[in-house]
Amino acid sequence: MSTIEIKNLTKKFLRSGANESTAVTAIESLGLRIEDGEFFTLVGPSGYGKSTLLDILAGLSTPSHGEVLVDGEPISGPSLERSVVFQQYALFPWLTAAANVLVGLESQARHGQGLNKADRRARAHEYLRLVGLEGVEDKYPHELSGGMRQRVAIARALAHEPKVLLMDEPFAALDAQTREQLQDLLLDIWKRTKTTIVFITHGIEEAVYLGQKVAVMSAKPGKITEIVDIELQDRQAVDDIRSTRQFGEYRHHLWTLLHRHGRQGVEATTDKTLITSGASA
Amino acid sequence: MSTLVLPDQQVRVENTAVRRVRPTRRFGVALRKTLYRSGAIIGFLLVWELVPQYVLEPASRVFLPPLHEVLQQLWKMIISGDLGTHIVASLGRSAIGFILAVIIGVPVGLVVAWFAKVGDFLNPLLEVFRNTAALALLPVFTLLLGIGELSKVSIVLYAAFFPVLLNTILGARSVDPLLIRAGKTLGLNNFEIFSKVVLPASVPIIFTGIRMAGTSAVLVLIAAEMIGAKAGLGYLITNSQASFLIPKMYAAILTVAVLGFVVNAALVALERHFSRWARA
Repeated sequence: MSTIEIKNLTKKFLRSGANESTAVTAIESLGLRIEDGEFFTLVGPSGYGKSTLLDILAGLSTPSHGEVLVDGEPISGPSLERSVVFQQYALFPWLTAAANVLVGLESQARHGQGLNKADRRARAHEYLRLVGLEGVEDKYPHELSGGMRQRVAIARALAHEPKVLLMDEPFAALDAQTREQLQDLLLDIWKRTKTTIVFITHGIEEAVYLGQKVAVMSAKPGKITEIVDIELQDRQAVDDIRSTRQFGEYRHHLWTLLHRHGRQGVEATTDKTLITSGASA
Repeated sequence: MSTLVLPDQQVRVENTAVRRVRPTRRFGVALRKTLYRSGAIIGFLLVWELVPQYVLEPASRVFLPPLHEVLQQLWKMIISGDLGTHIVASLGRSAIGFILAVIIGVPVGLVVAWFAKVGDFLNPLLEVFRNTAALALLPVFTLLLGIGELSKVSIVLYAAFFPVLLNTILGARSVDPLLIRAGKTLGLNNFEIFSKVVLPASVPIIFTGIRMAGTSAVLVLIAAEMIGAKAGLGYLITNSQASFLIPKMYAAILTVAVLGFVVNAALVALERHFSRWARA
């Protein structure tokens, strides 16, 4: 559990073309504060602003300007305190489900602050059970469905009990039904562990359903245009909360925000992607 | 749509019914398949057996004895232990050269792949060596290392080294960057990324290189032994020819063929075993 402070963050890339290389600004002077234990969703059109931000939070790339503080400390690289769940699962295909979950626990142990071997095994099995995967410990990723693989990835990200969970469109590759199941699973886990979650998506509905706060991001350059507080009651306490009036209003409000900026944007195609992906979510 | 699909389904149902009633038919099908697949080999062996006896004139029959004579000779050599000695000599040399190639090629390949600048520097030279037929260098090896074991093992090492090296580089370079990123977020340091992500991820492609290396190790060695050696299957072939022991020569050739086949099959099985997770 940690607060995340992003101050005046800018990230530029050099994109090499046929003749010359041009500087592309992926994120421009972005400021943001994510509170301890918050479920924070970021919604925006496809483009690399969102994923770039997540990469910086993970410590996988460094900002061009500005800084990111976690609990007041600047990020100096990847850390077990900030776990990442990727869209493409990123499981190690040569390891079984349980061995995948063990990877983080083992590096924790190598740094001298982990569990002993038996406890690590027990913890891995416990987290696989938490994500509803009892009995697949010895299966290899290629023997599992997409939804099950992403469950393993979530268990792997959580098993060493990080303070922050970063999720980069984790459910985008799944079918609608599996996606809803995993959204509920994630909410359950969040309620239980109170981990700070930063969740990136291009689905407006997903952002509203999961987030306490939804930040709307514009592309080219990536900026946060508005942060919307979502004041819905417990999502799972109400039957089909997605069809309530309140949910619809949030959804529409975000849709309008995204559209306004989409239209201002350079590419009309960005707009299109957004509508289709929003509808499928 | 449905009218199109229906008759097709009916046919399929009948098929499964037939199969369930007569399980022996499945065995019959499998047997026929095996026979069909080995048909060419059986045909070839029949030609080898019959043509020298009924088609060739006795003068040329000497140069191509029928299969049964070759097999008789082969059996004699097996019993006497003569063949065993030559096989051991050949296999020993190939194995040493091949194992050295793997021991050197895999780490060197990983280093070249990991440090892009080293790779850029060495790559042109590697391309030149790789495209130089190993046997073209045999005289050089013989001049420098003599005609003993050292030059044989060296030429095998040379021939086996490049498939291992180049496939290791290829494998390590084609590791999904996403897995490396995931590894970093799971607390792996650079060395651990290397040993726990890059290496296992490249194993299937490395093993393809190892299989290719094994095949060329045997091929090159036989040729090298034919040029200068005191034992080994290649020596057995040329020596029998020179001594006019024609059935013995064919027996040695047959052994080489079987040996190459067995080595390849073993390496294919090994490759399958180590890349089973990659077949999805």
